[in-house]
Amino acid sequence: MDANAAAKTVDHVSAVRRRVRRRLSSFWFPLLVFGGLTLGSLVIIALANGPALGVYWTVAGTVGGTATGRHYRRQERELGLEARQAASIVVCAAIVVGCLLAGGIAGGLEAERTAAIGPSLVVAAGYAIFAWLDRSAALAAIGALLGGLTLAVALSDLDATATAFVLALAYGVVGVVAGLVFRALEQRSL
Amino acid sequence: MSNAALQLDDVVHQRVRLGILAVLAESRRADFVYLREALEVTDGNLSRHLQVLEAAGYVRIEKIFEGRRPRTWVAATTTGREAFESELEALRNLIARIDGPRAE
Repeated sequence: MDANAAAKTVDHVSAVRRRVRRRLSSFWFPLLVFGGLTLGSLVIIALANGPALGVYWTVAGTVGGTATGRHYRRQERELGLEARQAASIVVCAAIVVGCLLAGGIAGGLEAERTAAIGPSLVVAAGYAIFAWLDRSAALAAIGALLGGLTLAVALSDLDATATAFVLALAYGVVGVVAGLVFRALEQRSL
Repeated sequence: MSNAALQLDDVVHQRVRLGILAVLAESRRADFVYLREALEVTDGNLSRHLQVLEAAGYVRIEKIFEGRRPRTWVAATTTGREAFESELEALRNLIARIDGPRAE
């Protein structure tokens, strides 16, 4: 075998792997669901905030996570291709635990602004990890955008409720818009 | 130069079999229909290559019924994943060995 044949074989393998990754990289559903749930949390932030928000996310996170798991299972059955999900499940669990810890600890210390900023940074980091796992530049860009936005809000002089509201609004809108865009792109590529 | 000298594995080296292992390297398992369409091969051709990989212990084939519909799922074994990675490494080494002196 010569170098040209070897290079062609390596290119062929890379192309096959890329196609499989693209077929398995379907982000629109969790983005849309969790974007929508984040927008739903605006009501709690405006009316109650504090522990009520923790309860909301415990329930909403469970519902959203279950719906996302079912969506992926159905999609994999239809496609005939199952993803290796262990890493994604670990990252999801880490995001949930990280958010609850960051919010809970800051809330316990009565650092209410930090209670809003901490979980947002955890979610932005989650986007970055998923971007790395799925080699997705789009997810990396979303993570960087949200991380930058969170830092900008952290440096502003907004009060705790306004901080939580602005961040939830931004994360919710970005999630829903990105979900709709990813869905449209996916349907166009099929 | 022989494939043995290049440390290429004849079971994995064949283009369709390498394609099968490439799909399975990125997934937990794939069904027969997906593999056939992704690799653009016929049923008979794919079956033959899967048999070779299964005999070498590189893939595990599971035939099940989902409702009334028969379905064949294929997954790479640990040995299969290792063989696939070794093959890629051998190919990259070959490219580097030949391109290296030319580039200097």
